[in-house]
Amino acid sequence: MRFFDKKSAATDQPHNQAEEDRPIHQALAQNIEEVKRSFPAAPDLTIFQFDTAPHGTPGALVFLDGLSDKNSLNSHILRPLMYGTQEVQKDISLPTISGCRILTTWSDVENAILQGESLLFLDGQQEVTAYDTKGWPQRGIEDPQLESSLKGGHQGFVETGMQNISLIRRYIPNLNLRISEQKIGRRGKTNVWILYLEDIAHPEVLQELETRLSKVDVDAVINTGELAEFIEDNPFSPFPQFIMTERPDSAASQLLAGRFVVIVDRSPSVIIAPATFTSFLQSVDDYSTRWLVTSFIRLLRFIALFIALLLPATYIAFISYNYEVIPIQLFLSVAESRARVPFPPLIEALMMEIMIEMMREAGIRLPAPVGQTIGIVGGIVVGQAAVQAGIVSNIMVIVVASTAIASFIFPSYDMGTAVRLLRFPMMLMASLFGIVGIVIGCMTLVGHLVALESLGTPYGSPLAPLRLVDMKDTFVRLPLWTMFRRPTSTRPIQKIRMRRERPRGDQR
Amino acid sequence: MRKILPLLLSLTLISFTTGCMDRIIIEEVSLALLVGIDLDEKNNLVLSISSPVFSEEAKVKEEVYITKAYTLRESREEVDKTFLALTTGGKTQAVLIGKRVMEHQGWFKLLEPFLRDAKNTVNARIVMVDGIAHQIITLQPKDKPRLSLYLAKLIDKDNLRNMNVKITLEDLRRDNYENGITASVTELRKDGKILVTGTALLDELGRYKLSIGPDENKLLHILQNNIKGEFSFTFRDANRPKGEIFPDDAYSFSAGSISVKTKTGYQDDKFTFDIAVDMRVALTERFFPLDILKEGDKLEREMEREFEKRFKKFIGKIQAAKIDPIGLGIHARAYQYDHYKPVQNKWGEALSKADVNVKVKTVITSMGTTK
Repeated sequence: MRFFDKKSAATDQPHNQAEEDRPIHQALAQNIEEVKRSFPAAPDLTIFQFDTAPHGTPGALVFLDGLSDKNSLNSHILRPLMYGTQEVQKDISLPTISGCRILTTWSDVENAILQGESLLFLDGQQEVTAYDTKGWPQRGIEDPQLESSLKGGHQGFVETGMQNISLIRRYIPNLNLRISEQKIGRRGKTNVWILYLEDIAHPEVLQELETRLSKVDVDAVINTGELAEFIEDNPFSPFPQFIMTERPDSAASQLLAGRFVVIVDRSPSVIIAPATFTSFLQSVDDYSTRWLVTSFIRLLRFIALFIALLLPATYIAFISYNYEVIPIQLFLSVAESRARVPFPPLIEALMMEIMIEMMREAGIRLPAPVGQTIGIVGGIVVGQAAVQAGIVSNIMVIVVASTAIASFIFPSYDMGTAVRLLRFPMMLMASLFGIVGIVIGCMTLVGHLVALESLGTPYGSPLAPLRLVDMKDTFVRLPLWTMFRRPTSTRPIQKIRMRRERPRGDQR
Repeated sequence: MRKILPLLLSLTLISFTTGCMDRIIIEEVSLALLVGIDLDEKNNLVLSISSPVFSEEAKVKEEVYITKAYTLRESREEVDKTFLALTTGGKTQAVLIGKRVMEHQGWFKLLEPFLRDAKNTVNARIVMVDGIAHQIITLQPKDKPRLSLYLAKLIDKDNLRNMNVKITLEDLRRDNYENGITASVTELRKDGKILVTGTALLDELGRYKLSIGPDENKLLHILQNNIKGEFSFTFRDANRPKGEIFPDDAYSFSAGSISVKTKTGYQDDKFTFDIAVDMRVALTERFFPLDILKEGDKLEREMEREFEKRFKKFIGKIQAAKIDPIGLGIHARAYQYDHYKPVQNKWGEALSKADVNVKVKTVITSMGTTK
């Protein structure tokens, strides 16, 4: 934000305020002219003129072709208007449609047309009726690709914000689910909804979130990720400071934990805030799998975190400085295979890591049938052939492979990429200072994590500051009935969420 | 811009960082896996170093260099003159010391660089070679893995069966500075092959005193209350006929859950040590007919007698040599400090006058899978 010149942003208002509030004309022909003038070079603008039943007042229906639902437009608006119904109001037969409002200014008219509403201009009237006939091409509700789950629901958010709200409402049919709406983007005018549970979520955090959102002054917000970048606490941190999910069930469970969900219209993922570091290592499946199994998987994720972050660095440190810690048998085999490699360990590791990252990135862009080819080519080239050619040692291949596998275990894609990125500085530190370098790197990272905040809430919680209650759901997951308190790291107002006892029936 | 500047500055600084200067990449290290120390006829120090070669093109994967040198550290440069890579002692598996070196007082200070230079290991096994150390180091047995690994494995494995002591440089240093115990080291001999013959016992000044075989080493370990691993004995029953060609009187067993209790006293101007050894015994071999269920206690008594005889003989031996490999001095210092203090610097002498009684109690808990 620092790079933008604030002065010019303040003066550069797109429209004059007086211009916006111009009233509607009385004559229909004049109004049609006005509309045509406002929408030059808009072939999708349809103006349908007709005489309304029952008195034959001339009228015109104005809408954008692709943004309206033709079916309801034809049968529920045009049919009653043209052929008449029993109900007559203000000289015209009442269309059988629920969403209906009266507009009086031109700016409202323009906005309503752009949003996909159909507008009825009537001759001799200085107001316009807008009918909600919004309808545009939509994707069906599918399992989200990035966060597929084994046992959770298989519904994912879609690109229509209202649908996403309804998906969450299905999980929490509660009056305390509050939704506050904001519009972001001068051109884009994206609807952004903040969802929260009034009696759980902390009002201070809500205020912070609302303030931040209202301060976003941009052209358009195309995607949730863009919005997150504008409102996050530390833009220079490698870590994601908001959870972004496409799963309504996980959004609902976060709401119940006292967090906020920000739905951005036209984007299938939602922001969940405030986030903590450990919440990126939790997944929805954790709560539908038995707790012992989940605990094991949780621990696995933490181990994977360290492997993904530190394994290549440890390899470099061990073979360039601290070779004394390698058991002698391994030492001999590592040294034997390293002896063929003409590059220093850092270059060797960087080459392989960059190769793997390229393969991963290439795999995303390729269609699935071709993607397999990348796997095979990469597997053979990076694997055996590179070792045989003496470009890398075979231990390095194992290191790179384990690191790659470990970095894909995270339920959150954002955290996975953050860790993948961070291992490069770690490798650099290791190649400069050995194990000491790794320790320095880890200390810096821990320091950063402790200082980091998400919406003003400590990011390191429940580890720093230590919240013992939340430990039940951090490294392991204890049975659900032991977690009768909501997580304290979100500062919920209502702390208890369930009965303290497990329902045992009649067995005592 | 003000926020970006420090970032850019630190990035520039980082890119010029040189890192630690002692960086040696793994394949550029020549590990002195075996170090040999000898004295030649004119009492010159002869040092030998064996180190693995990592190059694929090399036919022989081991390089050995024997040099006359003033000290161990100085020899490193001698060695670097010919070795492929930089020699370090970070992974030394064993230090082989010739018997002639061990017979002289003050040889221990030769190992000083291992203790002072933190890059070197203190976990090297200390071995006395009954003969010349570099003759072993130059061996390249065809049917065995790399000599250094083979030796290390040999010593560790035999130590599991309590046939020899396994002592690292760190242990040796403690034993050397400790008045209440005298050091003992693994003993090797080259007899065509490499044989672990047992344990060499040193005196208070670190000089070689006497050697014991595997059987006595087991007794030593029991007396030290160092009862890890397997204790397997083969005894002969004195009451049975010897047999003509094949033994008729032999039986073997392994002792488990051994408990050793040492009581320290002082009487008549000498120390008394009453060591009670309790062990549970599993028979593993028996050449004569005996109903263990009925007459087991007869065999138990026989075992106890034999054990006590052996202990007595062993203790007599170390008392005659005026050494204390068991560490009874530590017991004496703990329980009889007033009497120990005046003799602490000549503890071997004091122990040689002491009464050491070993009482053994055995219980046969398993007779094996046949009757």
